[in-house]
Amino acid sequence: MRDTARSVAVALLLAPLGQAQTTPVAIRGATLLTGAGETIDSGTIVLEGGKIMAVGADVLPPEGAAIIEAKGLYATPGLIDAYSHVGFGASAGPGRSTTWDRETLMVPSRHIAEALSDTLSNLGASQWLRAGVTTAYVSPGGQNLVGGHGALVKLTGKLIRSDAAVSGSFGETTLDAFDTPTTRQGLIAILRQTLVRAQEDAIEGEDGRTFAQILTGELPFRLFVNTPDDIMTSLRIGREFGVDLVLDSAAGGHLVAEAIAAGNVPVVVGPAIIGIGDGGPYEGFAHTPSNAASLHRAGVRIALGTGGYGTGRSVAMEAVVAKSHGLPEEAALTAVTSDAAAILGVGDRLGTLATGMDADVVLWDVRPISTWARTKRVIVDGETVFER
Amino acid sequence: MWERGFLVLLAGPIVALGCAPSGKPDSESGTVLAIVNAHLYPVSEASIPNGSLIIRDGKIAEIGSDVAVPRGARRIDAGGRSVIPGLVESHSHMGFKQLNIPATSRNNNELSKPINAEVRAIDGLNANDAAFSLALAAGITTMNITTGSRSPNSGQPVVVKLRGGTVENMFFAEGGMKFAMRANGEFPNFPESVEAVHALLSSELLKARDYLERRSAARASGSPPPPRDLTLEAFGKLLTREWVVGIHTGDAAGMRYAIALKKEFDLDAFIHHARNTNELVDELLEAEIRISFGPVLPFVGPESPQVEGPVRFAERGGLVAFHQDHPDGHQYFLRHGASLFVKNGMSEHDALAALTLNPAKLFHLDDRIGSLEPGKDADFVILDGPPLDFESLVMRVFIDGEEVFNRSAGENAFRPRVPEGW
Repeated sequence: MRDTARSVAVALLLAPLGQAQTTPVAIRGATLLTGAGETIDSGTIVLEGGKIMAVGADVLPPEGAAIIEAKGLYATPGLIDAYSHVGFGASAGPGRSTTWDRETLMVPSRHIAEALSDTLSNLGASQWLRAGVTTAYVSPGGQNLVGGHGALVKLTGKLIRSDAAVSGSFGETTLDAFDTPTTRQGLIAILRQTLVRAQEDAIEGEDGRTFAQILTGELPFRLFVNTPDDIMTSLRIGREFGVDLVLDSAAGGHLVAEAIAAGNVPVVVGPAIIGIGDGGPYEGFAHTPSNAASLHRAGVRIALGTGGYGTGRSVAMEAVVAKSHGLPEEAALTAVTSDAAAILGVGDRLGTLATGMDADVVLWDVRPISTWARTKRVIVDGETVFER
Repeated sequence: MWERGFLVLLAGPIVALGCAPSGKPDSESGTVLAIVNAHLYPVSEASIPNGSLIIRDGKIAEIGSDVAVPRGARRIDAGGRSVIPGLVESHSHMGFKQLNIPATSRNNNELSKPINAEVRAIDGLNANDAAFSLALAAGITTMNITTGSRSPNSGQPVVVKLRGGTVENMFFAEGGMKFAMRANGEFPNFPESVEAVHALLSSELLKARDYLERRSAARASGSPPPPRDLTLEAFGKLLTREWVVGIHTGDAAGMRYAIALKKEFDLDAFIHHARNTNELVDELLEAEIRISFGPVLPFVGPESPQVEGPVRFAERGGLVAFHQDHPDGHQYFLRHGASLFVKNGMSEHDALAALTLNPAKLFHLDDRIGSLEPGKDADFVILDGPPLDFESLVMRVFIDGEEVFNRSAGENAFRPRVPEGW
């Protein structure tokens, strides 16, 4: 019930932004990189009602369509940052500076979208839109052992899903944030006991429903972990409870890539370009820009995330760094488009230039996964939100 | 070939034991190295698409497209790859905030009092910070390592070359002084406003002026001088312009106080961070103050409004260096950050200068490092593509003509090292 009320409130708030474009638009002549591995030289994309109506080399613009001439440019789906904190941070205003709950170790039924709702109309993400990033997963912070539901937003301020996944975390970050327990194994013992109680339907209310969503595979359980050991523990928990696991950050993933691949667990690779404050915690020791490439080589499905707030960091730049450290160009593109959408559970509407998908399209001056690429035009839900 | 260079390098600290830091290169006398078939970016002049670089005794002997390789020289065929001067990082905390050992970061700030001019970074620097190996992989050969800036005056930075070994072996030059034009009310007896920080620093400089006058008067009259005071002595070196002072400040108000302090005491000063340069380009130019802008990545992105400041400042003749403020900004991405400014209108040449010759100029070391010119130290980097391209990797790094990093061979002058993958 409360969920429904919340969704309605958010929908009302966003109504003016959600209006879709009515005149058809045809983007003509660009090299289309579909995000699903296909390249179409000199193709046409037709957008109408906020959706992609047609894509192809032989597609003709419908009568009355506004034509965007894009010869010499490259078109991709809008890029997706699969792990961010957009809408939060000091600049977001009072009460928006924190993404986690300081009081309670586990807050399973917390929805980050609720804390985000009155910031949505002004996410402070214009820098990301200009950089070609149109969608972001907004994660709870990496402090709570179970941090609640992450949200999926368009950077224009439209909420796509308020319950895209349930986030959890353990390791130094969690231990630093809470007085008890005092060890990693202590954290895991609490998590295991809680999941066992959930299996026995012993947890009531919204918390119980959230755990049910994890245990039935309705929602993925995203664990923010970094050391190879914490990753192995995540895989162990995943196996024990049969949950649909996604690893976030996973700086040490390259050291246990085979095990992650064997578990068929996708990874939202944390940023290579980081600031590390006092030198970074111990668990960042394995951080390297070739993590994405190593995981991809081992057969792991990957997306990229910045953990950023919508300013300096950019998942577009992360894709270039990953490419320059061994990730094939095509894989770097799919990691920020179709694979990201699939991991986020929205592969049927985002991340690919294909009929029926949301009309989120970016035009680039040169090949998009490259140092010097700049956006020429960014379209979200059929509307041009930035033009250079 | 590598092993030989590496052994010579390791011998450095033993030779230097018991000596004052000399900054003297450790290369074998009489050795000649020739880098041929290179795309050279001297920075001091336009790039040379196919040229040679001749190194003798750790110094650059010749550079150009029409240079004869001396008989007996060791040849390295660059295969058309880029050769640039070693990068110069003007603001790093490496060795103080150690990679993955956060507890050691307490050494970065002396917090017992606000004025610490007598405190020298060289005395607390840990040369075994694993991050040094990352800096080499990033193509950095020289770094100004500073402490602070949680106090108005954190002390004396030190300029090191990344030769490996002890800090004695790495020492290159004194780094002058560091101020911070920022309030930090966290600590008792620390100023609580930028105005008060300015007043405190002014008052210390006035005390130093008086100290220098009393010392000099005593010398002239033959009377016993006042006792040596290492704090005032250090401030005195700012008044005589023997030392440069880097002033940490980001916002417009702080930058204006930095300009005022420079003018009042005729300091040889530059500004660290200078985040809001876009708001006061004219004032900075008028004051002839230089800037070390950063940290760039990941705090400043290609679409950030702050990018515009250094672009306009450099366009009008201002001196800009970029820095990463490691570990606040990860050290590896110093070179990558420069590309953001090129995307926003800075020439590639100016952006490369902001990583090499310009930071050398901040510390008046541009007669020794920062460009590929005859007579300068043979500190250079071979990359497998254009210098500022993300996709170009640093393949080999040389300091004083000795190889200190070789990506293919997996060699690095520093231990411990970061894991593979950099």
